[in-house]
Amino acid sequence: VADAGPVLVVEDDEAIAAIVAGVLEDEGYAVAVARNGAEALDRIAVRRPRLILLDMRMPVMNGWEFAGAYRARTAAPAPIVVMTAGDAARKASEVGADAYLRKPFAIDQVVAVVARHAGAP
Amino acid sequence: MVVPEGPGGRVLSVPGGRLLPYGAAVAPVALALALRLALVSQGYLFVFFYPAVAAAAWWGGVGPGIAAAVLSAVVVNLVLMPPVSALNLAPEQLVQVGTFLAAAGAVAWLTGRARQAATAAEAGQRRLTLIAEASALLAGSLDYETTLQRVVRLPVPRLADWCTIDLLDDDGRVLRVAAAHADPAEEPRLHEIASRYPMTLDEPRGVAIAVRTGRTQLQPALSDADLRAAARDAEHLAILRALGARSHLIVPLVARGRRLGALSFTRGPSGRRYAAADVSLAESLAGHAALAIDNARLYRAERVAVRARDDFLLIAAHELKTPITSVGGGAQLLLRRLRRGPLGLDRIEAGLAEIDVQSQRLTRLVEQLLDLTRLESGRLALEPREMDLAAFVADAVAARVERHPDQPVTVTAPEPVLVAGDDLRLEQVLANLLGNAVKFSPPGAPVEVAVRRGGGQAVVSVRDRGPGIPAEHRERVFERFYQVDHNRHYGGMGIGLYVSREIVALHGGTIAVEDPTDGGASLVVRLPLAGARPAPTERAARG
Repeated sequence: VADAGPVLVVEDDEAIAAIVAGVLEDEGYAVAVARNGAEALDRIAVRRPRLILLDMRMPVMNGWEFAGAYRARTAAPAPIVVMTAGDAARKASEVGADAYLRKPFAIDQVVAVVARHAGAP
Repeated sequence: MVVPEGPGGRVLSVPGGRLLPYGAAVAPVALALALRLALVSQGYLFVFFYPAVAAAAWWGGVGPGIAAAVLSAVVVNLVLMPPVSALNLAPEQLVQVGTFLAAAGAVAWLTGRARQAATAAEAGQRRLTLIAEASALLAGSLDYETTLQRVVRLPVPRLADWCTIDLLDDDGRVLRVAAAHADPAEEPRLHEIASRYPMTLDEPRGVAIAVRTGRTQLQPALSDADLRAAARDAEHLAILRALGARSHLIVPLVARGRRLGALSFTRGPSGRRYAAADVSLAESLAGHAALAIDNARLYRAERVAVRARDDFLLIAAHELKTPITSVGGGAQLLLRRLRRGPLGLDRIEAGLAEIDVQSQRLTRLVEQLLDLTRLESGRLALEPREMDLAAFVADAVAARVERHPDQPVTVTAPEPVLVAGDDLRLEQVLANLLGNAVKFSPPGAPVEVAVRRGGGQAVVSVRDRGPGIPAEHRERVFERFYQVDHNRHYGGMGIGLYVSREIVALHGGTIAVEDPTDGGASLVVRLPLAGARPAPTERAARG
């Protein structure tokens, strides 16, 4: 796992993105942040992430559209963890995500789900 | 009831129809005479003729019954009383004939009246049955479509060969919402004719007149000339002729004092014609129908409102969870870092400041929700005072730019514009409009705010260079709970613009989306001017 790639945080709310990125960086992960699905696709084109934390309701390109476009252009997609309020399980299954974090979530949950699906930093 | 208006309104009189029962009175009298001659050789002069009089009165009414009695008296006198073939005017015979006439007259009168009563009772029974069926059927459903279908099918075929419901919409158009025909294959034609030749309320046609005046329109006999007068073109006439309406009864649908539309009963070539006697039954049915339609409409509106509220609660909960996540997450991150080892004061301060910002955001969302509740219950009160809107907007924008230097906003406010306004509420409106404009602006493109006088009003415009608002959304963006696209999230609960519009309306003003020709969106607030009196001192004091 010499070059596993960053954890990509796709979230339009800057405060939440900063907190999630902060705790993961504290744990020793490399983190990249995108504010919507389109930005995320741009980042993925440069470097493959080891895991994607994905908000669903976003401007420009939302989580559903991003997941579709990402799968269409990637042979071996990274695991996706949906971060959303409301019916998180349903939304996660709609985009074929590996796991979900229901907002409001505790940051310990973020660390745990990333460790489970992306391995140790 | 109204004497029919328009080309179709002639009451048809049928003289031949009235004389027919008198002619028919001859038959039972002739039969009675034949029986008397065949069965009895002497005596029993009058006995056979009482049933004949009764029969004539039963089938024809009191008049033909009496005619049969007179005819019987003449026949008996001429044929049966000796000497035969001559009028017998001896006093004894005259007494006999007179007695018969009095008794037979009574029989005719009683029988005719009995028949009338029986007929009326039968008709009443049929009406009661129909009305009872109507109330049971119409009370059975609150679903709008089901109710319309039940209303329109009920009178067919007993009261009409076909029946249509036309309802008035909010724009004054008359729309056909349901149609039933005794021959279901004809139903599409009833819809087609209404959609191809739509009706407006000001037309001189039966349905429009009924809705307009609120009075029943009876057109007992429609001629081809009436169809020609009603047709808009040759094709329309062809459809009307193919339908073959012969008699029309149009009843307005009125509920809670409001005219909803009209229920039209029509009979084709083979059917009876409508008469004044049909009006009250049709009106009773229409009364039940209007009530049922009104209830179904209210119920439907209520359900739409409940669904909108449910959707909104979901969005509001979702929207609240974002700052809640940030507040909790920010505090947890800070704690986690503090527990791991010493943390610089500056990092602690930055973390706490962020938590503070997020808790303010949460407060604003809750305030918005409270405003919404206040507006809905009419408890949002203004505290207006005279103010210079130009200086006020310039100050508010300057303060915002100081807080968010990365979000450029320019102001053009060359001269004082005095209004009577509640500064806290107007600040809220401005914050909503600016927040909205910034949200949709491409990075770096400034939002342009202008304050001026125009058309005798104070005008504030907030213009962005974003994607603009599609024409079909321009009215709706101010609706409660409205978001252009729920899943394409631009933040907010969809109540900012609604609350803004309501606040502006409380000031006696308006707010609208205008469409700049060179792209972006412009939201324009117009408020009444406080007066022509300029106040340069206030401007100087504030600016």
